[in-house]
Amino acid sequence: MNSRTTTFSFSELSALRENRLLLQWLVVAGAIVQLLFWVIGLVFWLTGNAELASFVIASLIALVGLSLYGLASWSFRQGRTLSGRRWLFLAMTFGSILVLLLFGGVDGARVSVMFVAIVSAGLLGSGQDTFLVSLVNLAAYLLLLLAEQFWGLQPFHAGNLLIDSGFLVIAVVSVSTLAWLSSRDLSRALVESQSRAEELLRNTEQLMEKNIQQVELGSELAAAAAELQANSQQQAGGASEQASAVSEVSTTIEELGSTARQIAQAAEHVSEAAQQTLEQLSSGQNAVDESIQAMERIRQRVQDISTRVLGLGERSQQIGEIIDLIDDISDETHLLALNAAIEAAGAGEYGRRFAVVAAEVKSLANRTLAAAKEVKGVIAEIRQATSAAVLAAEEGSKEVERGVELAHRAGQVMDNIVMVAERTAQAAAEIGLATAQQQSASEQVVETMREIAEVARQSALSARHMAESAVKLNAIAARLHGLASSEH
Amino acid sequence: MQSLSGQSQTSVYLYVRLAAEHVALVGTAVREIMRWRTPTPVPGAPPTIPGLINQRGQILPVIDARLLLGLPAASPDRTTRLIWVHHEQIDAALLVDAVVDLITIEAGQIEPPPINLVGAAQRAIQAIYRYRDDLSIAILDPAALFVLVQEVL
Amino acid sequence: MILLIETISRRYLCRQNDVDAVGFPSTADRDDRGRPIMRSQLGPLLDPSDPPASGRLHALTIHLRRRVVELLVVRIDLLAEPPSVVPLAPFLTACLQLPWVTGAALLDEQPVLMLDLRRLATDLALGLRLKHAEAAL
Repeated sequence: MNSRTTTFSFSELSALRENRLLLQWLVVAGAIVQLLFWVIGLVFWLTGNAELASFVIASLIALVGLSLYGLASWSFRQGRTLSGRRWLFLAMTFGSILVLLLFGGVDGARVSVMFVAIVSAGLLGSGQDTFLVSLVNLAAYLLLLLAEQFWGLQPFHAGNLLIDSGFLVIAVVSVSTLAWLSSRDLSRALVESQSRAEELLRNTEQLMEKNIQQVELGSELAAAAAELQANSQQQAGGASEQASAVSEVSTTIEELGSTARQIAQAAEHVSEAAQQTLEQLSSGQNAVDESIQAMERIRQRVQDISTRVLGLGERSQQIGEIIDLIDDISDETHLLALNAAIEAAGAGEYGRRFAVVAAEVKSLANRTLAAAKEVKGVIAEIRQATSAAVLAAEEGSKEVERGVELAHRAGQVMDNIVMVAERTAQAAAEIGLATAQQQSASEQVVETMREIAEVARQSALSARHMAESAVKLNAIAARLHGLASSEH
Repeated sequence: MQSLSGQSQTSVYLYVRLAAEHVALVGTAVREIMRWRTPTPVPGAPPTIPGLINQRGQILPVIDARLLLGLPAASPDRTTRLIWVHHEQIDAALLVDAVVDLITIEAGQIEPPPINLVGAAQRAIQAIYRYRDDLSIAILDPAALFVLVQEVL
Repeated sequence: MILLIETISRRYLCRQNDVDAVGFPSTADRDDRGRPIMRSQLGPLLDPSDPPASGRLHALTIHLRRRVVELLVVRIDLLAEPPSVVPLAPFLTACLQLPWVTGAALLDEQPVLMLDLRRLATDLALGLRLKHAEAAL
């Protein structure tokens, strides 16, 4: 039941009216009492002491009362203490009406039961509740009175002194209990408020002491403030130096950035040049390949020519052999003629004529020899030409081979150049990238430097503010000091 | 050629160079100065006689004067000359390294050869002529040359 | 009659009377009379720079008392006009190793030496050689 309502703590002042536990008990107790009185009424009717009409009215009142109790309980559950109380007090009113109806009407001390509800409302409820409950009770009393006097309402049981006293006692006991509870509550509240006042007084004293301490600290503060001022001025100066240094660095970085940009541009030029070189080289490589192919074709042709020329050489070899044969014959003839001439020289007259013949034979032999020599000469020339041609062809093919080799080498050189050009282009690209990176890095640095400069500037500014604050602090400290000295 | 001009007798000499030596031949022994040409070697001839040459129909033996006098014999070059020497019906072509000049020497300027000469030099050199302060020319005797050449070791 | 002898690099003259036969070189060691044949190339005998000839050669045959000397040359010829041969200078003759050269004539403006082949053959048969050919012995 207490889980949803406010928790109780002994240090808290809890008004009785907020005491939900008590209220709930009242609800339960009142409902039980109401029910009990209705049962009594039922017994009265069953035993013939009361008329049906009266019983009906009594049941009605009991029903209303019970439902009011139920409503009150529900309201308390809902947390609506204010309305819950109201319903409770009304329910109690109806309870007291039922009592009056059952036991002798409104003339007698038993009317005091009405006070239970009223006092309850006064103690536990708000001002409005008291007024309302009083009115309702008064209205009920008048109504009952009228009913008795003019409408013939008979109570269930005639009032007698015992019943009156009993109810009086009940009423007094209830009221005094409630009053006691209330006054206990009140005294408790008073005690708590007193202790609170004492606490407050203590706190004030402590505060006063702290104040005095603060004033003492104030002079320390003044000294510290002066130091702070000096430091902040220094910091301001340092910050401005820092700012100027930073701007220098910034300038240098910007120059670096511009140099980097120049390098990047140069690298771009190199890259372009390398690109162009590459393009030209690719066409150069094509030219080299074509020339190699052409040389291969030439080599083939030269090979053919040499083969044919060699064939020619063999033929001329044959002719030469025939010529040699002619040579032999002419040589023999020559010697024959020689010897004939020698013989003729020693043979006198006959020898002379013989010598003439011999001379003619010799001249014939010489002519043959000369002819043979001529042919030999021609053959030799042909042979020479042939071997020269073969040689030239070989030379040519050698040249072609050398040319092919050169072309290959040129191709290799070209490849190397291409590689170098590619590497150059790559290097240029890398340089470009590096300088771009460097540029962005340096830009970043410049930015950072600017930020640093800004920070320095701000720190200088804040230092100045600090200085001003220090001055103010100093003044406050002085005032405090003045105050404290005047108090003591 | 001797000319009589008053008291002094002057003679013309052919001043030539043999290796590093400066020598001269009396002009009367010199018939002609010829350009160098390769002689026809004679089988069995000494090294001092490289061979025979033809000069205008005349066959002359070549004598290498450098080898004759024990001087280094360099290969013939464009300054090498053959001197047609004629002495007592003997004709020969003397191989010299260079012909310097035709000089005229007075009889009184000729000095006798130094006494410390030995061997071929001693027999071939008949006189000394002081050409300059730092230069003396040895005057060779043609007859001695022809005799020397025949002495083969 | 004067014969013109041609070797590989030189030419010489000789008297026809000095030789007994002119022809091709024989192949046998002895002639038909049983005399030993001494065959020798003439060129290298006389001039160290004259290489030995090969191929078709001619031979000058000189008959000595007990043997035959065949001198091999490249070609033997008869001159149409006999040249005028002058004897060598006496001082030159005096200093020759072996007296094989007797004179010289001009052929085509060049001096050509006249050889005494009989003397040469005799000396050859005796085993005499010029200095440069002594190693070949």
